[in-house]
Amino acid sequence: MKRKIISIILGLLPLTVFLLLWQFVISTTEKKLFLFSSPSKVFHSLIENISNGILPRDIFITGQEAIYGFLIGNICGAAIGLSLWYSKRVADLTRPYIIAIGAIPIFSIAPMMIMWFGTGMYAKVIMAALSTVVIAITQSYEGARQVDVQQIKLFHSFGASRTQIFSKLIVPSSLVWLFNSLKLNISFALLGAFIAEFISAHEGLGHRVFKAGGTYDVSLVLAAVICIILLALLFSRIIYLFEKTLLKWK
Amino acid sequence: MNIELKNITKSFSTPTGNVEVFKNLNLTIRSGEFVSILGPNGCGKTTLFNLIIGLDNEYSGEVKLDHIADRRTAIAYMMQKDLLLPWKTVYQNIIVGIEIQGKINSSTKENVMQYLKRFGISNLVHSYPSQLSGGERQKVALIRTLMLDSEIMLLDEPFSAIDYNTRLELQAQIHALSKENHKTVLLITHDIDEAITVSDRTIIFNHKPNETFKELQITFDVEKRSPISVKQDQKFSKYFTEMWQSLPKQDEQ
Repeated sequence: MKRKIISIILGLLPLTVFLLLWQFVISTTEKKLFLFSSPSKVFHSLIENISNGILPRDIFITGQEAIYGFLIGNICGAAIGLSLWYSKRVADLTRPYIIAIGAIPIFSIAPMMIMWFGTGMYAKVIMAALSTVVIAITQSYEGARQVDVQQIKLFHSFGASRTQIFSKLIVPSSLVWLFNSLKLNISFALLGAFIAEFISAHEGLGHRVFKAGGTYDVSLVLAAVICIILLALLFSRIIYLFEKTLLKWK
Repeated sequence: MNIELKNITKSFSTPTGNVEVFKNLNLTIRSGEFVSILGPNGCGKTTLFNLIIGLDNEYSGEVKLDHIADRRTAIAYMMQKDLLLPWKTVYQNIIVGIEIQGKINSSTKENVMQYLKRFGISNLVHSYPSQLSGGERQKVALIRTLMLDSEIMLLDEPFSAIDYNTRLELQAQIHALSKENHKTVLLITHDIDEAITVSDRTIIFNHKPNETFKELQITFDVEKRSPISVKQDQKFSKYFTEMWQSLPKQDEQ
């Protein structure tokens, strides 16, 4: 217990030192305060915008878009990646396309998404899904590819069909890889939704940052950034608990 | 059920050319017989198993199994690695093969528990493979093989990576179980002691390509064959010497 407390204190120490330095160095002039804000001003902005309901609404919108996109991207990606196990030839043929899609900077296609799907929720969800799908494909295919050939041979010796090998061996064996992809994709889904909101939206944390940046409200920009970080931490925690339940054998 | 291999020729293509493993090999394993196969690394022992079970069909000649419709369900194959699925419990791992073959029935649980008791690991029924020792894992893999209740069992060095005590225990068990249930067993091993302990006959392959092989009938005048009882028999050292002399040496290659 004592050790745990010490490790928590040690973990928080760099952040505390940073915040104190920031507070005292910046507070010396109004110009610095305007450009960099201060921890107390950010905190004040955070409380104020939570109380008036602006940030909770933005968190809800961005979180919702990210979750939908995350689910669509990961489910589609995992389904594609795992089914590539059925044919090495198809996997080899599709690999360059997957790499090419993965190399596209997500920011560059955001305007097209807005043009095609409007400024509503669809474009944001699609952006979040596109940000996650390639990682989900590559990780799940890698997971399927890494299954021990001896284990496949054993299943063949049982007389297992390809479908049985897929459902009883390949999919469960790939779960570790799938969870790695989920953990990586939390940030990407949030980033996809955020970028789409930043370019064109009426609400959401991306829109809030864009709008606050336009009015030089650095405190609100940073308050929104904190909200994004908290959302990412919350999603990570949910994935962690989900993983702990499903992969309890680990 | 007899296993008959007639004029088997098998080769592998490698970057340096074709490598012939068997050349017109003829071999018969009689029903209920326990046969151990010994030979140098790469002589084709595992290939022989793959041909028998049908995992490898690229050969010439004939593998004949009497009255067998589906070769894979009539043969149980146990490999050197335990290959337990880490996400399944001991019980779930044991039934994975029969589940695939659609053989789960009302007595399955009772049969599993009987085997677990026999092997002294009934307390581990709900454990995961990561919680087991190497010997325990191998026992689970052996029970998984036995649960298939196949007439033929192919065992590919199943006891090579476990401690000596457990190995002796498993040798005694596998020999007793094969005789109790009239199973035909083929065992690949590098251990001469093990081959003498459990077998009715040993087959010794040479360096590839194998056209013929040396064989030795093993009989003991003991009531209940066990790793200890056979070692006390005078014939043991005679068999050991004969087999050691028959085994091809590395420099003969």
